[in-house]
Amino acid sequence: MSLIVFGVGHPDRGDDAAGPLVADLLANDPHVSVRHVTGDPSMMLTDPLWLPDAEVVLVDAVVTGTEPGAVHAWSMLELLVRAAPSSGGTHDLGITTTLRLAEALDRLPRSLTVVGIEGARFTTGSEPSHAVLTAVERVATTLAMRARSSTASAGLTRLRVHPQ
Amino acid sequence: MSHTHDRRISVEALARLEGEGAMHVQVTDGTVERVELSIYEPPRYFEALLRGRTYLEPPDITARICGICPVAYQLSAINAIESLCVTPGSGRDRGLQVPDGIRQLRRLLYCGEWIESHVLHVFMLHAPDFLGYQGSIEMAADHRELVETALRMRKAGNQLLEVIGGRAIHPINVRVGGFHRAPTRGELDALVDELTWSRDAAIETVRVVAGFTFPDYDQDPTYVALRPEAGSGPVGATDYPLEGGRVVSTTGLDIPVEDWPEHFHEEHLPHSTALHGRMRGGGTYLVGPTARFNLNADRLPDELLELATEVGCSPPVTNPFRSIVVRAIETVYALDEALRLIAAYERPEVPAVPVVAVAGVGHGATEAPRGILYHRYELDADGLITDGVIVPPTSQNQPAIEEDLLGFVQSHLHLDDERLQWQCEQAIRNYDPCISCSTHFLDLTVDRR
Repeated sequence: MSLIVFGVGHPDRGDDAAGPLVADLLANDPHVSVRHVTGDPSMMLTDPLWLPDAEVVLVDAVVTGTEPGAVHAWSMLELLVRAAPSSGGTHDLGITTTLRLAEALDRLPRSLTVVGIEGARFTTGSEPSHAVLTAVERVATTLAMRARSSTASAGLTRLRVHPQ
Repeated sequence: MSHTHDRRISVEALARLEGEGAMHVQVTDGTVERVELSIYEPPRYFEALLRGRTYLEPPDITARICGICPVAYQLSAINAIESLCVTPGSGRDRGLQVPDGIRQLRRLLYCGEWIESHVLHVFMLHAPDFLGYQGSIEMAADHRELVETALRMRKAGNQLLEVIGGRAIHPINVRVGGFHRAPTRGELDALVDELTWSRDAAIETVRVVAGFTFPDYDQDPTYVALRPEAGSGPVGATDYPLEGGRVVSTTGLDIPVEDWPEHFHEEHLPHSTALHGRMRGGGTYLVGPTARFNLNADRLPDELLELATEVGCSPPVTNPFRSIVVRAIETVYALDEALRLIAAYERPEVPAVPVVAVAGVGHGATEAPRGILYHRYELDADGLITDGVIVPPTSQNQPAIEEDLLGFVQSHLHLDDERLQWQCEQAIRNYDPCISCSTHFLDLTVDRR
């Protein structure tokens, strides 16, 4: 079973393109299957790749207050502890609500990691920042290595780095 | 009982609605004196943003107003703009005519939006109220099949949007005169299996939600909806309102969309950043699925009307809590209509016709999932927008929702605070309000003195 990477974000909103760009860099890797998630994240649960025995990585741009280009990696449990509860009052269900829904439906994959790339600018039509583009390459390289590795989560741990 | 006279109920945030705001209910000596939906989301000034833009831009700009009904914005804008456009050499002075294949695609795109929006509201936002859960996640643990069904049905709607619109949220393939690219028959045929599965699931959904327990409450508002001329749709279409029609009401109004400003207006109230829609003369009115159903049930295919009758949902529907059943019926309709349109689809020779604009004022309206969405644009001789007006369904419904709540609270003051609060929130969700569209929602305060 290959590594499944969902690149979450909008390709035309500056640093929000981080997830899709990582997916693009991995698109031709035979050990990785990629998807773009530009709309409602809950639709991931209907994707044929979202399987109980899958190893899934979601890559998304995040804003946590660290430096742009900082890379964070959270397990499902860590993410749900950190994330504020969703009001559910929105037109799409959001990442955390989607994961809580997957948990309620007993539809979580065996391994799920959320990789967050710290973004700074999200203006429609703007280019991703240099710091984020650098982080995108680093994340893609690490995930490609991870896909070839049989050692669980070793590569993902190394993703938790901040730019120098 | 003290709670029928002097009480105060507060909700920090009302869930399962789009946006943020507050509701205040004042009860004095056992009488509900005032209900206010306090919308404090900042206004977004889209109408001002449109000024100085070209006539080709409203479909893309206004689609950004809402993430779940962008097609409504695009097609209402197109109706208004195309009423001021011609194809060069056509001999017409205004009023663009587009080939049937383009009209089929527009209606089909709209079906995708109805499916996606209605399924989200019926299953994820409203059903938890009736089944006694805080939200869809809590509901999923006990009603797994229901939620799995919803996800699969929403995907069917999203796929329609993606194939025709280019993507599910804020489609990019729509333009004045048609589309940037028309899908092939094969691309649409590939959707048929999932749409068929979803249609069957939607029929079962109608039976499930019709079995919910509904609070005992009836109302008699003025309902307003579009009603197309019979047989005016593209080949393969039936006549239930979606992408156009005349404006009709349960009080006898029957006007072309061009006459909208003579009969409807908006006003600003201090407690809300969303404008409140009213009929000229001050009356409130309701738009949305129940209005459509009450004014157009005869336009539903016979087998769907039979299903509605089978589950006890015959027009007029006067209990707003039964709107969930009407949405479920409309979901079946949208899925059936999509299948009919795909079967009849003939790919247009060109995806869009050439257009030029003439100066003037154009009006357009379509039936968004939440009700009529009206656009008006004034163009100058260069095709630039000098004025734009956008009236979304939630703005129109807001005064009537307040009236409805006032009546509901008054007749349910015997309930304890927790139950009353729950049912007030449920009552608001009857209307699937979108405060993003109207400008977001909700703290609830009931002040009983």
